[in-house]
Amino acid sequence: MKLTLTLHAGLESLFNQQKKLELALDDSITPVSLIPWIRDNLLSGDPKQQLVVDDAIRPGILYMINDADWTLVDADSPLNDGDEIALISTIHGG
Amino acid sequence: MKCAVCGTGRVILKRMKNQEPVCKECFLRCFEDEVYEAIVQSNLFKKKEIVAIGASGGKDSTCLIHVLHTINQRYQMELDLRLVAVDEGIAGYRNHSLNCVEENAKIYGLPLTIISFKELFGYTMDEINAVVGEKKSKCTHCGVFRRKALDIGCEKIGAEIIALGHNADDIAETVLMNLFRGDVGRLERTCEIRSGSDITPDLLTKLQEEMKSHPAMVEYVDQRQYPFGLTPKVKPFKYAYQREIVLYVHYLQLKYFSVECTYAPVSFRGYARQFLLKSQAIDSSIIMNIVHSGERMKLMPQFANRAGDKSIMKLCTRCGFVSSQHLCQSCLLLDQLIRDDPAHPQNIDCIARSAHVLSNPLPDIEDTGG
Ligand code: SF4
Ligand SMILES: [Zn+2]
Ligand SMILES: [Zn+2]
Repeated sequence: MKLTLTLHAGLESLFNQQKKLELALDDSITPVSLIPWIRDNLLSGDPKQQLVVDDAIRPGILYMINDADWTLVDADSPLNDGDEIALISTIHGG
Repeated sequence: MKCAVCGTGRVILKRMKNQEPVCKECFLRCFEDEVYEAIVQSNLFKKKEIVAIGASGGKDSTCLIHVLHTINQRYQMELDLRLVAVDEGIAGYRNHSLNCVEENAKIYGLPLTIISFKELFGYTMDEINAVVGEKKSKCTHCGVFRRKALDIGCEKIGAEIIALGHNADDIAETVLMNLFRGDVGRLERTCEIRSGSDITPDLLTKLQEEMKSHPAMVEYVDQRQYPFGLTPKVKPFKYAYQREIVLYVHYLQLKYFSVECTYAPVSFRGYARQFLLKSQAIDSSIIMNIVHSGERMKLMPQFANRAGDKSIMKLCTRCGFVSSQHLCQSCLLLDQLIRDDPAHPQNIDCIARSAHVLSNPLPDIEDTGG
């Protein structure tokens, strides 16, 4: 399946300043397993801990699937082809 | 699951305050209306009033500009909204965020006034950094000078009230920090939606009297209700959660700047913030519980006096801003800077500079170096 991942509010700095990535993933990936997948496949070094804590998105970072908070979707059923994932930091600046 | 407000929309989030599932349109509308209710309930603004909005280019002030502009029209509040921004002179940070402010000023058609540290104090933050050194925190200078610059900005546009983007999370953080440090004297003020509840009419009269005989202040006596330094600050986002502000800005794709300041310290505040973020994951009402607790705490009189006796307030003998000592913090810091600066910039006359900045249109101030 193919997904888009967009990064907002400073998180692009963890992804070499990329704001938008196209991801090709195994069809079994769920909202829960996507986060460690991103850590293991897209990040290296410090950014790993800056985005992910205990296999889940770090507190203070919003994780949206098709504009909806990820906790509203079934966490264990696979994501769908074409889903739009957005990660938004609430921590920086002000 | 359908939206709890309209009954049809696709649910995109649960509200922080009550876990109600809402659709995007209802969320945006409710968020705006709740800010409006907070404003009405606390009587923050008067019709036709000139309201300065402190604009930094960050998410909170960007959101505040959009929401105030929107509800001003929706509810015919007839506010004369204007933007005031401070240019601290931090290369790679403030110049970019000011671009955001300038764009927003254009989008909403709101007049923008920028007050720069260099103009007002003769130093940019980058130059201050060079004088005080990498190791010491720059945030005291920055905060003290910014407060002064904002007041000057308000005077320049004729506003005697300024709206700031501080949200519930910021306030909860500050409450915790005050507790951690034992600085309980600030608790009451931290939680105010409008500053100045501790300024009695007697004190105000006394300070206004002092203005009449202060060389730098005498010309403002008839124009201003409040002495410089006491311009009321209001927080329309006092009950707004950071998380919802970020989402609001995200859904509307408002332009904001989110890079951290070059001088941002690894701070105590960061520690309080992490603690709150983790607690919030367990119970989302923690933020507002702290805000409400802070609101209800009142110091016992024997401590209140020690913590900050307002009756000793006077005007800074030099610049005329309200101060608890002969010289205000800003004048003291500036004196210290000049002493520590091997380049010794000559004649940094803060009164002349303020007058310069206030006179319209802005003339160029000769660079005195430093
Ligand atoms: S972090 Fe930067 S902008 Fe904020 S107070 Fe410190 S020096 Fe000023
Ligand atoms: Zn709805
Ligand atoms: Zn002074």
